Amino acid sequence: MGTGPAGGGSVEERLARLEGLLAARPAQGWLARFAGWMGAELPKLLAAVVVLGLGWAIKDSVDLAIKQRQLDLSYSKEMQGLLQKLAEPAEMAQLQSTAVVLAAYGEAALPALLSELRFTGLRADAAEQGLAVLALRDPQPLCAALPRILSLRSRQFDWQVHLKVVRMLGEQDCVKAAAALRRYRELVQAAQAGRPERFEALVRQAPLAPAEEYPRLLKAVDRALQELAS
Amino acid sequence: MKTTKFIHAGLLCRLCLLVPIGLMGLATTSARAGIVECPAAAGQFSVFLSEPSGSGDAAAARQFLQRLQFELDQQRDGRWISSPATDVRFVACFKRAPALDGQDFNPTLVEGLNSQRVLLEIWGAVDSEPVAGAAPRLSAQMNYLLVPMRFAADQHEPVAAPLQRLRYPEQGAAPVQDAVQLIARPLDIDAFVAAALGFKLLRERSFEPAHANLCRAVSLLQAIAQRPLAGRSKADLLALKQFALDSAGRTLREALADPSYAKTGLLRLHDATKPCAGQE
Repeated sequence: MGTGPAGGGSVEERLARLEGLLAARPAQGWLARFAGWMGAELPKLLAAVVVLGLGWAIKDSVDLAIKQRQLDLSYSKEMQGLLQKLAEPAEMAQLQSTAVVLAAYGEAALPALLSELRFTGLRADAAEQGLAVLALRDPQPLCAALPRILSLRSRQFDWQVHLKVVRMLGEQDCVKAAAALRRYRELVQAAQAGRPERFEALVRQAPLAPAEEYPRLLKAVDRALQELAS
Repeated sequence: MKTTKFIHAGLLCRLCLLVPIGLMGLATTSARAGIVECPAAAGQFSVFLSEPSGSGDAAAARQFLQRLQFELDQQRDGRWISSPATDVRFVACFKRAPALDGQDFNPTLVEGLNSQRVLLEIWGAVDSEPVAGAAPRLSAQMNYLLVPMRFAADQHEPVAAPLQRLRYPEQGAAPVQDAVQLIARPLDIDAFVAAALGFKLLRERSFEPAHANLCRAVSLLQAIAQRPLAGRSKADLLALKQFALDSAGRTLREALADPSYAKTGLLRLHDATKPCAGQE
């Protein structure tokens, strides 16, 4: 026979002891009582709460992203006028001020200003100035975008644009671009040594005076690398 | 050589016919200082003819530039100097009127011009002074910016004054009432083109045409310097002549030191200490 709490005595005594023991046990917490009350429905409720929490957490960032996109779209419409101004025949000072105003749109103006570099001459010079102004606020987007121009195979840019890009990378202290600059240097060096095919595959038009232009490019790359190392 | 002389004599005559028509407008051009885009001749050397400043209307200046450009460029079979592998085109730059003191030509602009193989930019101002009971007296200041020299100066290389200024009529010359006699000076343009082209070709390591043009510039600049020029213009011109001569010597030295220069190259026959002997 058992010797536990219910052991010994009549059935009534044993029941009374058991009830006494139950009454002496500490009371259950509300959570346990709630879980006991929910029974099999609890997991569904938990899932619903998690979804609600996540939704609440990401709501702000989604809103922000949507608003950013809307802002970019509205900037694009506003920038269109400025881009048309850059395309019109205008004085150098006017082109430069237009590019600087364009740069005031921040990162949204980056593709437009990079695209303007394709036009050799005053437009490209103005775009270069705009990009420099853009980098005053935050050079990171520019530093991330520029190295790609040095390896694009679409042949959209002239070697003069490469020269501008190389200089900007150095001036803006784009440290992460050092590897791209070193790869570019190898291409130019090969071109100077009489193997211009890989370099020419990147530019719209090969330099007309390679004996003058390749050393200029190499000098610019070396200077940029020096600036990045210092 | 005979062909060359014929081309230049013909050019002089054609300019004498052209310039009076053009200068009628040039003397009355409106003041519109500013640099606007001027597309260089693709794949060739270019000389920019910018609008002169003064007072008057733009249409006359435009007509002048068109005719001048046509005369200098089209009517000479696309050749300015009879050098092999060098083709110099004249480009009329409408609405482009640099400041008289040349302050617009910052290093970025000059680098762009040099990369596009622009040799020379010509602009200036024409004044008309009324004379009681007679035709107005004309005077002009013409500026010649030698782009390769200016680019080299921006790179801190020693060069002669890249901005040459000539006043017409020259000191002591009789007053000029005919615009043709005032600035119909193809010799001046020829001299500056030869100097700029020679120096540019030297930088591009095209030694033989570089040497030919530099020596040609020496003799043409000497001819200009013999005219009664005002103080600084003359000094700058003589410095440019000396620079062209020195550059001709440098061309010879660099050609002889260059392993890729032909063993039978004509420059091997020259003495680097007298680079233009027999050609001055």
